[in-house]
Amino acid sequence: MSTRSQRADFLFGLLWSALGLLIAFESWRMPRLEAQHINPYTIPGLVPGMLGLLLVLFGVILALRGWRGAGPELAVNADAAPWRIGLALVLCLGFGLGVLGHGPPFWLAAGIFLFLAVLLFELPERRAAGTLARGVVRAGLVAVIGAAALTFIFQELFLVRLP
Amino acid sequence: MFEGIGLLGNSMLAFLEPRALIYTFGATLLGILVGCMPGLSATLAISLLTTLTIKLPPNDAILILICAYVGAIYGGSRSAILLNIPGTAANAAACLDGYQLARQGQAGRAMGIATTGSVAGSLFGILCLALITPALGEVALTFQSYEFFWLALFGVMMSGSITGEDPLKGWIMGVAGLFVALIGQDGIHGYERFAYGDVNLAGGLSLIPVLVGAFGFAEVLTVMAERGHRPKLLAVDSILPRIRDVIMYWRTILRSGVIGVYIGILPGVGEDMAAWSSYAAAKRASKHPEEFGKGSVEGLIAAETGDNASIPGGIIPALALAIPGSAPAAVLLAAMMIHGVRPGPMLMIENPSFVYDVVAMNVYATFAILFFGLFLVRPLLLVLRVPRTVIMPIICVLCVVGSFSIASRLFDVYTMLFTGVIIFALRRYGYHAAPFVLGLVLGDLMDKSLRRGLVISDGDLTPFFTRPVCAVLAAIVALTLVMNIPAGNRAVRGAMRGVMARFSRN
Repeated sequence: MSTRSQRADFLFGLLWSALGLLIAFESWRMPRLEAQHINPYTIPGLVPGMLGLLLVLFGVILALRGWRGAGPELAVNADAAPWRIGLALVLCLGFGLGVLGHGPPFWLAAGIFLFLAVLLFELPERRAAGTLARGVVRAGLVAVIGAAALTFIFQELFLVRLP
Repeated sequence: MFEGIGLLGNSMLAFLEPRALIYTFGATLLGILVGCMPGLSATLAISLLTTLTIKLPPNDAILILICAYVGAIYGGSRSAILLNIPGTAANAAACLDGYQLARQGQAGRAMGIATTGSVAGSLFGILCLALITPALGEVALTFQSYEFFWLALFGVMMSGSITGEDPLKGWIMGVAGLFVALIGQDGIHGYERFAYGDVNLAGGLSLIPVLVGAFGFAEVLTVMAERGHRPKLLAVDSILPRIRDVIMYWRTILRSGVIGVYIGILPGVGEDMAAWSSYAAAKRASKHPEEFGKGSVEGLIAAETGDNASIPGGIIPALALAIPGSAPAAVLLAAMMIHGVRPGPMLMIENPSFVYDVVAMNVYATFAILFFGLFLVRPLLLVLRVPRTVIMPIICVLCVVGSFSIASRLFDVYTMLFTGVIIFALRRYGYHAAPFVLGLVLGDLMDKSLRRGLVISDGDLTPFFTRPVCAVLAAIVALTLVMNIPAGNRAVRGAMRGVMARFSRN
């Protein structure tokens, strides 16, 4: 077990097996509804229990494969930088989980999100090219036009009560 | 037969009115634009449009979705030819020869060939859709719970085996999708499974937010995490397809059409596999295989015919069996269900005109891609200039507001975000979303079919293996499993060698 993908396979194998065991255990705990005299072959836990056991089987095979150092090698995406992943997650989840529906109206939340996302993702190139002011203006324009257009389309055309 | 032609004629006429034509051309154009943008897939286009069209009448909504689907798969060839970046996964095979032709100063010709191949593939697929769907529906009327259980399992296993490079991870995603589909009230006794008293979970996870998360939000995160590349546009020569190319390669077009439809019908196997298989078959049969990858017209035609033929191919099992042939077809199936259409064997009895409506929708979508392919090439290229740093945040807001708009509840937004983040993380480790989505769509069918089958047979498992269709499907599932596990593969090959040696001695 040497490469990144083999270590990942081993750890994911353990994770899937644990999840499968949990699903199978929870399915086993589900009521058999004997009091309702239902056919025992229709108990609610039957199919999820089987799926849980199947997940355990696949998880064990994956973990063993990772342990032995077999399996296909993962293609590494050299273009994906950790700071971009972190920023994308913080901005998108901050908008969807933290801001939307928790105070500010939709148009304001969407506008702030669009402004920050466009500005921050273009920041390194803008700084290098010395066009930061133009970047701020563009991010502002995208935010205003985007937020106004999306609010109008959903609120006025599709009659959605936005959060 | 004649009844079918009459129904098709009625459907064709029904869409010949201004509103339907506006929807057709608007949605196809939108699909082409989405397809042109690397990183945005056909599935994303259909998922987002499902949320936007939820309040439209069923036929209008499904027309828009089908046009966007056809447009996106076609539009992806633009960036494949001009940038060597496939617009959608289905156009990866088109990069090989399309980009080489563009480098030789024949970008316009390459786009003309892509248009020819796409239109020919679509028309061939549509013919198969019109002929095979009613026949398959009739066969499926004899199916019972046993067959439907195996069909659902077969779909998930096939999708897992073929999507990506690692079948084991595909199956894990398929099983995970089947499990997620079971969260909430079960369809037979109404027992709340895995809800733990939560009202939202008790109702089950809504399909569309999960799909938007898996294909929309996960893709937004993937593209945002990558460094953006500014595309450089090449000069474009004449885009008119040459009749000589079509006549010269009619065998390639026909072969790729058949392969595309066949792969489309296989549950969960998408347009990308259809394009690669058509390309490989064309190379094997070609008189000039050495030209493939260096700007072969035949190679480009094969790839584009194959992926477009697989679109109607993927809709065939979705309509006749309620088992989607590809990930976008799974979203289309979900949209049909949301709009009150019940695909499956009873469709030809309950709503026979709907199958022909779908055929007509595909025909109009094909005319629309021909129109845009011939007359609007240069303006359409402008979309490639829009930087992804602008498009992706807007798509993210659309994913959020689209998920919210279905039932006006924030829980759907949270479901979408959670699914998107999980799929984004798993994709980085070689897990693909397509088998998960297929499992999600087929989970309920598999659950009910297994339990009903057991009730009918009073717990006897024999009918699950002895009925002819069940026996074939069970054998394929078992063989797929065994052949993709190294130890099983070695054992089967060893046994086969033993049998062959014995036969040769005799």
